[in-house]
Amino acid sequence: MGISKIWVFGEATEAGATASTLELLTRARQLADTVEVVMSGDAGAVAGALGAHGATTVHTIGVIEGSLAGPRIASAIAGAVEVGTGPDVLLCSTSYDGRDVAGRLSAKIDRPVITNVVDLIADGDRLLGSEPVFGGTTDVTTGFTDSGTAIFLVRPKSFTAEESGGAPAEVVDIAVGDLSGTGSATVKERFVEESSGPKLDEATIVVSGGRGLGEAEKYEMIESLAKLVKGAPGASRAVVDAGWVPYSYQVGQTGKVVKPTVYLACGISGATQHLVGMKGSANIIAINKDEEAPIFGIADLGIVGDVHKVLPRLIEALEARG
Amino acid sequence: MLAAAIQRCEPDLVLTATESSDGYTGTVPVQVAELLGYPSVTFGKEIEVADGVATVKRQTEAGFDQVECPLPAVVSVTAGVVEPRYPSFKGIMGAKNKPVDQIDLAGLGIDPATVGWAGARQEIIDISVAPARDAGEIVHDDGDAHERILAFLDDLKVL
Repeated sequence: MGISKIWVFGEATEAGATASTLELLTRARQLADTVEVVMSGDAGAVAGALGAHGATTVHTIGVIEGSLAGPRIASAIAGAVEVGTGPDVLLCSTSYDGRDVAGRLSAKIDRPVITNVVDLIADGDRLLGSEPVFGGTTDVTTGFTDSGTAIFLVRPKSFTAEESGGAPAEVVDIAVGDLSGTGSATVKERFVEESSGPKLDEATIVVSGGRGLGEAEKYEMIESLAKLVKGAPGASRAVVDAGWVPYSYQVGQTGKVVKPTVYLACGISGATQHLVGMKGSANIIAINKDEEAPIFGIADLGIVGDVHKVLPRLIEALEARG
Repeated sequence: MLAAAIQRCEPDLVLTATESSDGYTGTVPVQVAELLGYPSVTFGKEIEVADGVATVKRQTEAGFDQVECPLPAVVSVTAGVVEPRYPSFKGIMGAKNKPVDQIDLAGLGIDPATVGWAGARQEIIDISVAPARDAGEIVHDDGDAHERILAFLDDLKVL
């Protein structure tokens, strides 16, 4: 194949390797001869899953409890690049740490980054990225013009994870270089936000609320309905900016991209930046008072109506079913 | 260019947003931090500064981390981090008289060939209109639209 070696910045929780990590590995093995992972934490615990998705080696900087991954992983990769053992391509998810790694590495080794990628295309011995711009209305294909490690930041759910049946990856240590103070931020405590129900980007049904709900208290209808359908509540940026719900609820270009079986948009007009986050949903239902709202342009079932009437009736009907 | 311009001010704290709404790159804050040799905390949903330390609630997939970072540092913040103030009339009038320090590349000691499009070392291969998604059925609520939604969900067997 054209590309010799791709590294994927791997992330994992107690539940295992993240979906994005496995998605990137799946695509990477279709494009390169060798696919490896670079990560922090207990690599041994996920070596099986990583190997099953195509990684032959996992380079780990070890457990870094109390520190941030960005500067450390970037330093480790830069070190490898310097001695010629680095990758031709680095793929990072647009996760919080993924962006830190890509940005830090970019400045360290003086390589630009192609970001917001939703597809990777082979072009001889280089990779091209495809990115949506202008709120997702236009697709741009971009490539690097010179040699050197190519860094891509890839959006979650750009690819589907699939096992290749590979053996567990070999775990090797990789050293972190001198951080010179750039790694001095420390994590004092980790808080897990209580959420019963499925995660927003994994739920089969997402019930999402926007400015049309009118006021913060009305968002409770979204939470109730989400619980009744065993789905996850989501929100437009307007509602997050207004402080009704935390940023983790945000669906859209600057929030999460979701592709549930059903996306129910309540009081959301459908600005392009919001659509980018949900137009990949299998089925879209929209409720909005304004029949000109752009959301109706992509809804499979569009209800022109008042959310304050439709939602309570829907909730009541579902509660009656028991 | 940003790093060079910022360095001239020798700030204790550089505050940025997380990403732009046209390119959505989201990498500038840490790139600047790396070039300045500063530590950074990104995706801050709350920030306090005291005694040379920034205490930041950093958004994570699972919730948030309480992070402490010694200054000088770069901190990027998410939507909803504060309630924005509205400018006062006095503030607007005062802004007209505030000095704007204009510097060019030469003033920053930067070679033009290393920045901007010349320094980007990327090329655009193709630009195309994204495929559109078609609209389905539109219904006006006469008091029973919720039944339509239930029927739709039942058909999909997701309930």
